[in-house]
Amino acid sequence: MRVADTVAALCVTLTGVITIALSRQLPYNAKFGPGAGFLPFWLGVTLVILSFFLLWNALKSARSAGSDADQPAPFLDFQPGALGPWLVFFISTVAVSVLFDHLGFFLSIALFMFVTMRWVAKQSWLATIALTIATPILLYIGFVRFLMVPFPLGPGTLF
Amino acid sequence: MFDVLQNLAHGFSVALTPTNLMFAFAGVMAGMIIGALPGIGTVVGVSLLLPLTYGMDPTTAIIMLAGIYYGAQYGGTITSVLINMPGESATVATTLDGYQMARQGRAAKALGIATIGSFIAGTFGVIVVTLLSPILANFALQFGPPEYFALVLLGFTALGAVSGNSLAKGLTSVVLGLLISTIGLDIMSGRPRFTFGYDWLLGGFGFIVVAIGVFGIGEILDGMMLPGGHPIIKTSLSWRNSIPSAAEWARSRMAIVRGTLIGLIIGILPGAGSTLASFIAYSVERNASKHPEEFGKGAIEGVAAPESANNSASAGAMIPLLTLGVPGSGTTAVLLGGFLLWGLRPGPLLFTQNPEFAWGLIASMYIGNIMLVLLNIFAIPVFASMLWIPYGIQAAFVVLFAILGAYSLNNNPFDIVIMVAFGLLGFAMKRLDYSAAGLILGLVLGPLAEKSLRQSLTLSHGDWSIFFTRPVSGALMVLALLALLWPLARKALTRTPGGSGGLRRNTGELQFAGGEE
Repeated sequence: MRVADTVAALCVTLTGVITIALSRQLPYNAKFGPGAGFLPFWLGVTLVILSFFLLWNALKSARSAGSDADQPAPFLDFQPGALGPWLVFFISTVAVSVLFDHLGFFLSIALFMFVTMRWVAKQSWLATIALTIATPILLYIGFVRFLMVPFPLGPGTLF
Repeated sequence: MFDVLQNLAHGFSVALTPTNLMFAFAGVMAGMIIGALPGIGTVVGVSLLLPLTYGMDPTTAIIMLAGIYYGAQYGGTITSVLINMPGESATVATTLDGYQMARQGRAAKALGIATIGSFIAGTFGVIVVTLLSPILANFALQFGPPEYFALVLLGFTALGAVSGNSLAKGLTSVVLGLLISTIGLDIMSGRPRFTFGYDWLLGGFGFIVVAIGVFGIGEILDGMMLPGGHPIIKTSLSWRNSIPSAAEWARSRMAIVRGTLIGLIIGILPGAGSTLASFIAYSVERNASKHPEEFGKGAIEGVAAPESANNSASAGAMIPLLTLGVPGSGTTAVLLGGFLLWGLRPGPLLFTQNPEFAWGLIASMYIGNIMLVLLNIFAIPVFASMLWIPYGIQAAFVVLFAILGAYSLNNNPFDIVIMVAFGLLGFAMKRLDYSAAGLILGLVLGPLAEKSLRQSLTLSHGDWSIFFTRPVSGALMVLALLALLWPLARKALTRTPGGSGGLRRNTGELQFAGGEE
């Protein structure tokens, strides 16, 4: 956690510095008062100042490593056996977000449900297949028929 | 006074139309379910369901969303009591004694007293909203840009101070949110900022897209790290068992009154939310009790006080939202985002320009509370059965709702990718104890903060003393600076022992992890 905290603090410093640099390209003053670059500049300065506190806190907690109970949880601590399903879930989430437009409503939702129900939620084959088929149909009725959102339906458009 | 009654009557005529009644019911039902699902908090639920309301009439939509908001305060109790895992952060304090009561076979009693306390506190809270909102709105009519800036600043520092365990992290989250809000066209000069020549960045990041990602995906990725089963206590949840005995009622009576008042005061304050209210009510109750040794071992007051407090706080939080347009927590920030989406600007003018909206919402809160009591008395076993849904299935549905919601905002598939990217940011923030609610608050209030800051400095020709020389803004600025001292006060408060070791781990950094509700 302390390494992660330090890295996060440095990211905040970097964000602050970049913000200051970029905001210098915008007008700090307008005709009658502060301009477009005014707030971003000061936000950047605030981030840099805050990042010193963050860094100081991170380093302080590293030095005073007391009892385990006082220590925050590590950045990535998985329950035993949870890492595999988490990765499957994570990759499926990224995949469905990217593929949604290409595969369309039915196919992308069905694929996502199939993978996550079987290998993340550890459902039986029967339950997996039932949820894979039922979910896109129910969501179709709710979102497309009832709320009339024009989703890209893609292949598998049966209605 | 007569005005208020007349307006309220008008509000009831709006809230009692069949459509609004139906959506209020749908809202409180959804809220109960969201509250009862462990790992899906109120703010996640409200952000995920907000896109569903695009096509609706604004009044109907906000009635439903508000129903979800206070319904979840009731529903969250179920998981706290039956599996020692709060359904949302405002019910963390309830686990301390609620779960112990369930282990002694008194689960129905714990849920019963929580329902009674919630109803009393919720209704009292709405009465105060009814009476106080018009007065505050009238007062706020005199607010100029410096007052608004000072008020927003108070919201930022208060939220930064109470959320998570580190003031610097809370404030950093708020500043990052503000920074994201500056992306796109500058509201005053029309000049593009931080768009790097990309046209799609001109409109900035959609608030809903960010909120769904940070809260929905971030929360789920975090929860999936420990999806493990929680033993569910099997017990009869019949309504006959839930009615407290005379002795139990005598013990809880004052706890409900104290919890209600504490919750209300804290709920009205910017930045502080129902989570903080429930913790403070719990510690006050333990100090006031004649049997402090029973706390943590199944004391009924230990359930009554925090449950009352979180309900009156969520009602109280509607006051600054409606009258000033300044939300105090993650969920009310999302509600404000919804208001803006429908072209309604909450603030003092809301009550004069859109009375049917403002009063319809307030009236619906009375009705919602009654619906919730009936649901809680007769349908608890149904909601308790939600606990059997495996976390993996819940998580998959959250992702699907997040994707469909993000898409339906602009019918733009690219929004889905942005939403998931913000989900990763939300996940990292959650793991590192940065406040996601702070980020959202900064993002939602960014335009108001910037506009009022620049207008003030234009008025004063660049003189910063304008914020301190005007009485109201001066007082608010002093409060904003004082809020930064809160972490010191909190240290004193948290020194009181805080429950079982496993609890802290299960719920993330829950010790006073306020502001998220």
